[in-house]
Amino acid sequence: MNRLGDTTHALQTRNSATFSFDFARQAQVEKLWVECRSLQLAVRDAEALSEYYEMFLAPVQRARTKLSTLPFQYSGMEMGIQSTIELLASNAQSLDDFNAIRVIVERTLTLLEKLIHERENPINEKLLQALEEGAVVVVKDSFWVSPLTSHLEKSCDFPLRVIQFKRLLDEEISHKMVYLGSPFYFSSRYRSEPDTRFLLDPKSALNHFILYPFGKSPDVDGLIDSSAISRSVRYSLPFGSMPEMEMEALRSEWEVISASAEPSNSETEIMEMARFVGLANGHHMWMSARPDSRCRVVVVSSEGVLELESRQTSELHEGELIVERIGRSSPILIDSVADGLGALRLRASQSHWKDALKQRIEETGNLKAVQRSLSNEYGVDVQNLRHWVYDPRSIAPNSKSDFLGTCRYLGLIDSAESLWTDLQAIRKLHLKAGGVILARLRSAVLALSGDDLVKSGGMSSIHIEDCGALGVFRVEYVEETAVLIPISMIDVVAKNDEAL
Amino acid sequence: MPAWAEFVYGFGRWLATEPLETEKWHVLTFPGTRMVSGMLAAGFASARFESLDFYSRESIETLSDGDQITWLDSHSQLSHGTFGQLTISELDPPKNKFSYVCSRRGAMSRYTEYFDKYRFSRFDGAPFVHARPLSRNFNFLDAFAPGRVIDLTTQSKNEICLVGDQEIRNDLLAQELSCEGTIGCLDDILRVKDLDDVRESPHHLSLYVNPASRSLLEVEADFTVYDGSRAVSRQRNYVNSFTSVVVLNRWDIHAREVLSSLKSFRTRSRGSSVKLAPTLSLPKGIEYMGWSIN
Repeated sequence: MNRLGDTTHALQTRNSATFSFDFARQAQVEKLWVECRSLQLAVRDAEALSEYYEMFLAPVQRARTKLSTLPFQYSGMEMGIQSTIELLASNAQSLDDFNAIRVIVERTLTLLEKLIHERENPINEKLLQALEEGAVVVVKDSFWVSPLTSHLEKSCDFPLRVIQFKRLLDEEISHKMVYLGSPFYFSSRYRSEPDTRFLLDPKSALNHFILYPFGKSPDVDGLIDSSAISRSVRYSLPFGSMPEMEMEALRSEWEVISASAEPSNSETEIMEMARFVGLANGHHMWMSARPDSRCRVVVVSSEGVLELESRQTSELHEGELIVERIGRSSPILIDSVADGLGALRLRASQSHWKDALKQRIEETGNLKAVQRSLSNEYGVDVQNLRHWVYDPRSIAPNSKSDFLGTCRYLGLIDSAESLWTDLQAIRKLHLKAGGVILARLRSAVLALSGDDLVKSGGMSSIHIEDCGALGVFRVEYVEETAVLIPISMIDVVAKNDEAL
Repeated sequence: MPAWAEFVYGFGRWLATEPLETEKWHVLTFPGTRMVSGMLAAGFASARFESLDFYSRESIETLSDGDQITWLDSHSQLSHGTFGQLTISELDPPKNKFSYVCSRRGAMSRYTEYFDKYRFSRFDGAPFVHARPLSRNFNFLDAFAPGRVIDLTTQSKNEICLVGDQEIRNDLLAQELSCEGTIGCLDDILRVKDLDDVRESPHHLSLYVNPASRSLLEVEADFTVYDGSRAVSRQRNYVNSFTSVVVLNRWDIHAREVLSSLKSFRTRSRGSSVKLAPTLSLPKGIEYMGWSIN
């Protein structure tokens, strides 16, 4: 389509758009809505608000949101009902028998236990009925894009796509969009004005919602007062009056995983600022947020060829493709490639010096005492001592005098010159390895095709000499704020199942 | 043209005929804004092209020694040089001459009758040596503004200012317009300065401002189009214009916020409502708001 046609199409679509609503019905899920509301009020009345919120309300709200918006089997891993039952039952033990919260939680547990044995999820049936070739399924939480794509691939023999609500902005106009949830659910933003752009100017002429009948439809106003473009998206509730849903702080599944990362209290673990990144195909990682940290992004050039771009990690956006190593068992790329270039035979010198420092710290009892001795008696700048000892990415001090100072302290002065020569050689090989990695990755990425990446469901494996298992992943979610994370967890792709 | 394009083109034409006595602001919102700003500006330009004041060139008496000039060569391309001086002949009938220095060929002189014939005009762009085309798409502009194309393209004016991201530049260069059997792009009409360095004519009619630009120099133009929330929020205070139009895409997450800020600006400056011309009918799905500041 030409550019004039783009605007014509956008106007025609918004002017002719229709909205249809298909109400799901499942007795336990409907009751869960009622219990969730009661629990919300009980937690509000309790004194330890934030504690009870985390222990009871957040897990129940999370279960209710999944049960009301996802088509997976109730007994499946995706719904996580069994783990929710175990968590709530365990947390409820901390409350008195007659505590109002405990009473509601126990009623909720009964509902969930019944639900797990139900075979049919009505959302699935309604979704399959609504789908047709070229339809786009819209979910609010990007976490579900990959699992839902896989689920629908098994049930539908025609092409369709699953997208996150937030990505509607960049979406082309399509024939039909099926929303999993109510207009209220999609439009609500905690402590912000509702986002009704998808109702005011839909990206599809046919907009179908599969929903439980809670939450009234939002008002859809234009940008300019009393303009004629305001829209009324109304539906009548088919099952009589239902309790209203309140605006609540719903967490994305990504936030649940990132919140589960435990900070380390160990003196030997180096912590660094990192940002949580959700990846397609059931993966996630912590990406270094140091100002000099870079990631490798696969981009499509103007000629339609895939290219590799080195980018500051703060410049990474959702929807882009990145190359990362898979799993903690995969070697650190730079070490591995440098070893292949000749660093392997020098590693003994590196280990010899590092192990001697580590042993001295253990003998002395604490790091601070070693820092004091090195600084006061040997004139060593000890600012990076923890990194020299515990950070596998650190080779040795940059300054030769600091290195010789540590050797005098460790009783290694006789071999200090030869150790320094080896460590400098490793440093040079690491620099060389940086260029080699980029070249190897570039040729591996060039061998991929854009079509393969699209068909791969957001993840393709690549194998490169000395680099272990690598994957090209679509970025589904990037957390805005960075937090302190142990470096052993940074830049390693992990599976969501393990974290959840 | 589709109905929305007819509307914005007509809207631009209407704005060009409004008296330049008061500062006026207009806001249009759309569900998609590709080509909207360019079509508005093209409408404004087309109405201006019809005015004799607009396309007539400066007279020779206004030029001074050392002023940059351009003129048409025998291949209807523009040459560059500097004006020298006008020599009044004492003969009867008079045969006045003027001297100039051609950047390529050196010192020259001609009788003044050739000043109009070869469209000698003041030039305020970067000097150039090799002859440049009048317009990258002369035939299209000739069909669009018949009979005036040479006078229009032999002089520069900061008439229109377009403020917007990269997409507006792509809009301006999209070959999607047709006129009397010729195909062209919006830039063929608007001649935006520095839009493209390929075969671009040296005389421009419009300026382009990138919203990210940090230049402290203020820009002057009769008519300004801000394409998108970022354009208006970043550059509103650096562009001086009698008539400003803000084009907002309702999918732009900051559109509501920017509109709210414009409403406050309207209230603070005691703006009074402007109604659309009776000849213009707002197509379904487009919103409009306008005000003038006395």
